[in-house]
Amino acid sequence: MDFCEAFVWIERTPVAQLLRNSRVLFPIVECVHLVGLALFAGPLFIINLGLIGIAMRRQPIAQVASDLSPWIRGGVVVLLVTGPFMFAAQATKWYGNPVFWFKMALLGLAMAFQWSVHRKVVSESPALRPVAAKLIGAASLILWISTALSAKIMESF
Amino acid sequence: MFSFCQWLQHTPISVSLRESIWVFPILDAVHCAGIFLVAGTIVIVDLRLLGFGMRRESVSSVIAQVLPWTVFGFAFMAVTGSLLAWAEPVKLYNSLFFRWKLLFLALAGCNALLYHYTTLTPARARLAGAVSIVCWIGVIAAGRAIGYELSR
Repeated sequence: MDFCEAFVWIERTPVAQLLRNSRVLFPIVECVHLVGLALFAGPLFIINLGLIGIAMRRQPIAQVASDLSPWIRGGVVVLLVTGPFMFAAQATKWYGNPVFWFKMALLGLAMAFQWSVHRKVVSESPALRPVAAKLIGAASLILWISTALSAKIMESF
Repeated sequence: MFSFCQWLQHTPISVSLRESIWVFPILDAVHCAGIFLVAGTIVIVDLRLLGFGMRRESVSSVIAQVLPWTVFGFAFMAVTGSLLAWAEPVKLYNSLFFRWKLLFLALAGCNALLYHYTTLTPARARLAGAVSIVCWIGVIAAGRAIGYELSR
């Protein structure tokens, strides 16, 4: 089964049909997704600005990150649970949308970066390698903002 | 008010914003980014008020360090939001969700002002945190719904 067939199959599942045929269900799932995004984006933004060195300067960034990581994790869970439902509702529409594939690639990249390089530099003291910390904070911001913007663009593409 | 919206709708800036291929979506995207920045950073403060997260920091320390970024996001949100409203004033006048969004925004604003300019008991501080979270969820939900209305 290739991607196209899989997407057709996903779109025909009862859950996808339910989402597609209901007037309120999809917007509700979407709103939960967006609130999850806010929960995720705020702390991430603050931590990255901390890495860059322009926010949260009164305490070590590792402490800020460990204090805020429950919100980031919670936000990610909400996003990863609601996202696939939104995808399933219109799977075949997304199959032909290059921006969708771009977004998914960016998302994969951003997540891999987040839970490898980013996590490592946050957990050790950025004071040891200040330039690397700044670059990694900026890279994380750029990756996640690009992911969110491509999600916005793919709707109207 | 409606005649004002009609007049606004026919100003050259409104027409060119509405008919542009790229400007409107870019404003829209920046507006969304601004909202997530505002809601996402303010929720850190709200949750701290409720007693969750950043417990090693005092409430005032969290506010002092996080709130400037909320204001930063708010500036983006307000500027792009005004331009977006300028582009579609008549549709927005007739939009129920737009009124809901303004209502939630006004509530969030009053709530924040009350918090900053009155003396608070711990219970009232928690209430302020909870009200703020509800308002910002309302702003996001109503804002998204306006998007559906405008594209219809």
